[in-house]
Amino acid sequence: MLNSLDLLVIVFMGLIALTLFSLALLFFLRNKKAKKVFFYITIALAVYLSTVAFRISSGLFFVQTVLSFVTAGAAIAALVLERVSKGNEKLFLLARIISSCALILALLNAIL
Amino acid sequence: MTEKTANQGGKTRRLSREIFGIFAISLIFSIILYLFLSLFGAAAVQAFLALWGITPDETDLYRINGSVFGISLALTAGFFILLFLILLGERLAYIRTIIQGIEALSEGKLEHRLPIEGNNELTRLAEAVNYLAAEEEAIKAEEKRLSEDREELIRTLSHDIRTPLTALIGYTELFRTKESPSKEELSDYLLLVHRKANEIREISDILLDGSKRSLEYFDSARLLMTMLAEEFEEALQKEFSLKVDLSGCTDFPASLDVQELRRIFDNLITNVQKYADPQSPVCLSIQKSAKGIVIRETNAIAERQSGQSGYRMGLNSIRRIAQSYGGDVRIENDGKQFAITVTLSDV
Repeated sequence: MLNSLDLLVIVFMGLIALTLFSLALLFFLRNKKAKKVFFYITIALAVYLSTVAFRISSGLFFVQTVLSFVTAGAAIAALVLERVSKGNEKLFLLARIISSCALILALLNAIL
Repeated sequence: MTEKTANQGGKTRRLSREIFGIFAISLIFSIILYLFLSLFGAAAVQAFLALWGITPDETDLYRINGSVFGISLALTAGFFILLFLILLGERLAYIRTIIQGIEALSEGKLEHRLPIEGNNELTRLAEAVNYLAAEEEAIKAEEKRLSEDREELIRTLSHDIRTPLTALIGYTELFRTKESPSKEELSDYLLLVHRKANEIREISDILLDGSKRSLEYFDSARLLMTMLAEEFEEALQKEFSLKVDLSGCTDFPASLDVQELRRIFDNLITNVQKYADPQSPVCLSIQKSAKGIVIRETNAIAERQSGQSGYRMGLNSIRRIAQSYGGDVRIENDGKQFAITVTLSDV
C-alpha cells in the first residue's frame, strides 16, 4: 500500500522524468508545432519548479530564494522572446536555450 | 535532377545512422534521468522530510531507497521507450508522406509534389519521385500539344481541300449543262480539272504522310505573284469589283512552295466569296519589302453572317503557312471592314 512518502517520491521523480523528456523533445523533434508545444511545457515546468523552490527555501535560504525568482524570470523572458520572434528560427532557438537553462536551474534549485 | 535537394553540397546521411543517433540520444537522456533519479531522488526526499521535521525509522528508510531504485528503473525504461519511439516515429512518418504522395500521383494528380525533408535515403527517394512526376507531366503536356496540333492540321487541310474540290465541282457542273463546248473551252476545262485534282492530291499527301515542303527557287518571284494575283482576279471578278496592286512587287529571287502559296490565295478567295460585300470593291496588294513578301487583302463585310468556323479555319491555315516562312498574319476587323496582311519573311 503506497503512503504519502511513496507518492512524494513518485511525484518528484515524475517531475525529473518530465523535465528531461521535455528537454529532449524540445531540441530533437523536427515538427515545428510539436516543438512549440514542448517549449510551452518547458516554460510551465520551469515556473512550477521555481515556485516549489521558492516555497521550500523562502525565509531559510536567501540565495536559493533569489535563484527561484531568477529562474522564473528567465522562463517568462524566454516566453516573451518566443512571442516576439514571429517565425525567426534563431530567436526561437535562443528562447529554447534560455527556457532549458531556466528549467534545469529550477530543478537543481528545487532538489539540492 | 532538376528538383531542389535538401542539402545541396553535403553528403547524404544514411537512415540507419540517423536511427542509431536517435537510439543514442534516447539512451543518453535515459542514463542522465536514471542518475538523477537514483542519486538525487532519495536525497531529495530526505531533504523534504528534514524540512518538515519527519524522522523515518530504518524500515521506512529502506523502503524509501527501494522505492527510489525501483521507480527510477521503471521510469527510465518507460522514458527511453517513449522518447525513442517518438523521435523514430517522426523520422519514419516521412515514409507515410511519400506513400500518400505516390498514391496521389498514381491517381493522375501529376502536379502533386512530395515535400523534401532531411538528407537521407528517403529524401533521395522523394526527389526521384518528384523528378519522375515532373517528367511525366511534361511528356503528357507535349503529347496533348502534339495531338492538338495534329487535329488542327487535319482540320485546316480538310478545309483547304474543300476549296479546289468546290471549284472542280463548280466547273464540272458548268460543263455538264453546257451545250456543245468548244475545243478551246474543253482544253481549258481539262487543264483546270488537272490542276485542281493535283492540288487535292498534294493536300491529301500532307494528310497521309505529314507536311513535306517542296521549295522551288524562282529567279523572278514577281512572275509567280502576278500569276497568283491573276488567279485571284479570275475567281472573283464575276461577283466582285477588284483592285489589284502589284506596283510594290519588285523583281526578286525567292524560294517558295507554289502549293502553299496557292493555298493562301485559295483561302483568301473563299473568305471573300463567303463574307465580303459584293457592293464594295475587294483590294489585293502584293509588295516586296524589307520584311519579305507582304500580301494584303481588304474588303467590306457583308451583313449576312454565314458561320464563323470556316472563316477561322481558313485564316488558321494561312497563319500556319506564313509561320512556316518565319512570318505571320495580321487581321483587322471592325465589323464593317476586314483586312488581312500576310507576311512571308524567310523567302
